[in-house]
Amino acid sequence: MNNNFKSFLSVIFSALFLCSLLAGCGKGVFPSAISDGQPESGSETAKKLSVMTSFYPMYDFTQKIGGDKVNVTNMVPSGMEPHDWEPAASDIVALEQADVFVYSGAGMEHWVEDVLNSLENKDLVTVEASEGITLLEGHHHHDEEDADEHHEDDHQDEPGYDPHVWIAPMNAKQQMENIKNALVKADPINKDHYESNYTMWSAECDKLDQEYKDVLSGVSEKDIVVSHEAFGYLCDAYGLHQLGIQGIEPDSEPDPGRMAEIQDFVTEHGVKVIFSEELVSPKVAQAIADATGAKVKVLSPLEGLSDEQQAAGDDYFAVMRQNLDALKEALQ
Amino acid sequence: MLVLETKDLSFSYGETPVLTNISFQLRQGSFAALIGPNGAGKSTLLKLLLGELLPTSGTIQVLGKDARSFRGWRRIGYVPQDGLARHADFPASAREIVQANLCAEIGLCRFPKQKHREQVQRALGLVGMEKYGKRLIGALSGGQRQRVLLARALVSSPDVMILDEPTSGMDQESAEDFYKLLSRLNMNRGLTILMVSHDVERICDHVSQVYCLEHNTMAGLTPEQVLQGTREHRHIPKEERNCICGYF
Amino acid sequence: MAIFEYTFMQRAFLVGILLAAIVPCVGVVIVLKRLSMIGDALSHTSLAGVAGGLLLNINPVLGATAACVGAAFCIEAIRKKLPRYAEMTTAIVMSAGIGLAGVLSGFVHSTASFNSFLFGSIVAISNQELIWVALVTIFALLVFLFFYKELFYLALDERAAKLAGVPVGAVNSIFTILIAVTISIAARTVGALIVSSMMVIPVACGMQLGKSYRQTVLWSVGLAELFTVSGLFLAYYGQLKPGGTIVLVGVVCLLLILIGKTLLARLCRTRYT
Repeated sequence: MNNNFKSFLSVIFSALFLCSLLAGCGKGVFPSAISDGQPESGSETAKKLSVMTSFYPMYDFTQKIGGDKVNVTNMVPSGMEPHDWEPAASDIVALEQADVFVYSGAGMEHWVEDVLNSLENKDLVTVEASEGITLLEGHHHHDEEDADEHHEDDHQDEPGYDPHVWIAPMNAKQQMENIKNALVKADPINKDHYESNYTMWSAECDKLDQEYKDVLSGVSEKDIVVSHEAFGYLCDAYGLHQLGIQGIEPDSEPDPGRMAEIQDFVTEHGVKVIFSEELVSPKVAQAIADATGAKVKVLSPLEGLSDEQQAAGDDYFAVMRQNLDALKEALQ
Repeated sequence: MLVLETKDLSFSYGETPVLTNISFQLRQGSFAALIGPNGAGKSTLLKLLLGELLPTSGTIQVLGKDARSFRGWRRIGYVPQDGLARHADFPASAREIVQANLCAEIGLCRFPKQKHREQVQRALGLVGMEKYGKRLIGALSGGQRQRVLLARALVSSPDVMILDEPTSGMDQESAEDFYKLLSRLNMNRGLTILMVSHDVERICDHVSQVYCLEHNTMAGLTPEQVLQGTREHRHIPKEERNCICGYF
Repeated sequence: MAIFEYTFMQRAFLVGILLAAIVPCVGVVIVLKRLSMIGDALSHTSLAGVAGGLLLNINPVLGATAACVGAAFCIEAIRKKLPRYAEMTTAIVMSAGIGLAGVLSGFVHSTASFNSFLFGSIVAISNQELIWVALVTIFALLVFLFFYKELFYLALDERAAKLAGVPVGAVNSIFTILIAVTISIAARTVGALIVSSMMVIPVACGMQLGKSYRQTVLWSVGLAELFTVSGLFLAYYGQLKPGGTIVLVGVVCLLLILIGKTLLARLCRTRYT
């Protein structure tokens, strides 16, 4: 009996040990799907700027501004929800070896401060892309029915900001400018290249902004029900109001009281569409839709791309235009 | 009729011999005690007799059949040693505990009927606990609890009862009452009883046969022989005595 | 009442009431067999099954059930070999379950669905889930009823049960599956962190109040129903998370019962002096 137990214990401990090894390798074992797939070719890559971006929109903006002068690697892997993601040891190693680090900030990447404090790479140019943008306050609960007072926050638990700045095209433009400045600082030789890319893409931002203004000024409804409150800046820019099933971060299901509130809101205001997202389970949205006769459609907060979007080669602008179509259909 | 019989029964735990060439017979209708010092192998012998262990060599006959192929273990009633402590805080009534032994009789996926409930009440009556059926087992005294366990063993009308140190933890008066109860069951109903006990002198008043298990062997003695042997050995300090029954 | 006009609340109550019928029944046998930690161990292992299911693209509830059944049989097999160290082996399996769940969760895309298994998903129960819970609960209750007396004897004294002719091995296996299935289905709705409390607290209360095994079972079920229903009401009106609310109602009730009993005992004592 004793021998059997000993061998059993050794099997268990070996298994646990192996597991902890695996954990140490962590996400580094599975490389980010989105990264510059260009083959290393000696002197050419040696000149390319090595840039690490925190999650998808930062990756996209950096790629657009940097063009073929940069080698961009995205940290949050494809399909992963960035609000909960934590960097693994391999990600820190990559940062130590990078030239530039782009992150959105305003509380989106909760791990950034600790990581930056612990880095030894003195030459790393870091840029908080949301710098200079007027931040909106983030709240964790809408406990009033008044849809118009979404800026008032007497019941806040913690003074937090809404970090989802990139969702408004004019903010995206500002973020691209910050990124451009950082790239220029790290690589002054190619300043003209970055500037011209910026000019081109900022014009695209203006164009997108105009499209949004045109469409959304003409809709009859102004309320959207979304999975989590990721669209604050969009609503602020175009006169909409968002009601989030969950709060700023999509971490758990709403309590029963909140569910009832949302359902009431949907019924009273005749909301036709409940919006869900690619990276979050649509279960709750579906439940509300089933109970109220609404439909479930996708409104992407652009925190990451779904498999279909990746396969189709979508980028920030493509997804934003998909969003606009969805909004138009829902709010007419 | 021989209820239990062993011939040259030997058992070893690995390399350590516990029982060596034990031969004894338990006749129907007898009230026998099994005594011996701690660690002599009494519990092991019980496990062998109940079919829980297989002998290393030798044979065991239970109710005339070889223990290995014997299937009617329900005809052996068993009162375990740690019953008092274990059942002290178990949330069950006396009736439920007694009825548990009727599981096999009631049948799998079936529910107890009136006749089963009457069986339970009769068993409780045999041990003088008929008024305590609904009481929580933990609300009974040690002696009462052991009676309930006795009733549990009796409810399926066994041919032979095996009790493992039934009075350990009981006060003298309760123990004496318990032995008297066993005596009555033995005489009035012809119930064959084999009881393991340390209470050597007191049980000799009640039993008709004593088996002493010591030094890996067993000796069958009459109660008088045992009483005399212990009296003769009384002046010798316990550590220097070479056996407890005065035989070895 | 407004609360019952919502389909999701109707479903929440229905599922809650169904689960509160079977979970304490299983809990009584578990507590009396001194396996109270098994609820924790299995609910954590179910998380590993959920993560595995999400990664392999199979229904996470099936993954949870499969993992639970596997772990339950592991625990049972080790318990037979080492009956005196049941708690330690349960802890080992629990650690393995937690470790596996932790590692696998690193590869899961959205922690939100994972979180819903930790804290439960009682506000968004689909029709399919409702039917599934109903079927499993009815099946589990039938098993518990049909093997009522055997499970009782096994909890009381396994050795005596075997001698009395109870097919101990088979009944233990059936019960093991019963535990695993109940826990995985309950973990889905009230959350893995809550399940083991739901198994133990109503039973602890029931043991204080019941004057027999049958009464203990009935009290446990009755109290579990009370905790669930009042917990859901409180969660709705108080904007609280339902799983934790139900458990806290149970804990408060247990404390009240214990205090009440102590006061009553003291009162009786002073009366006689």
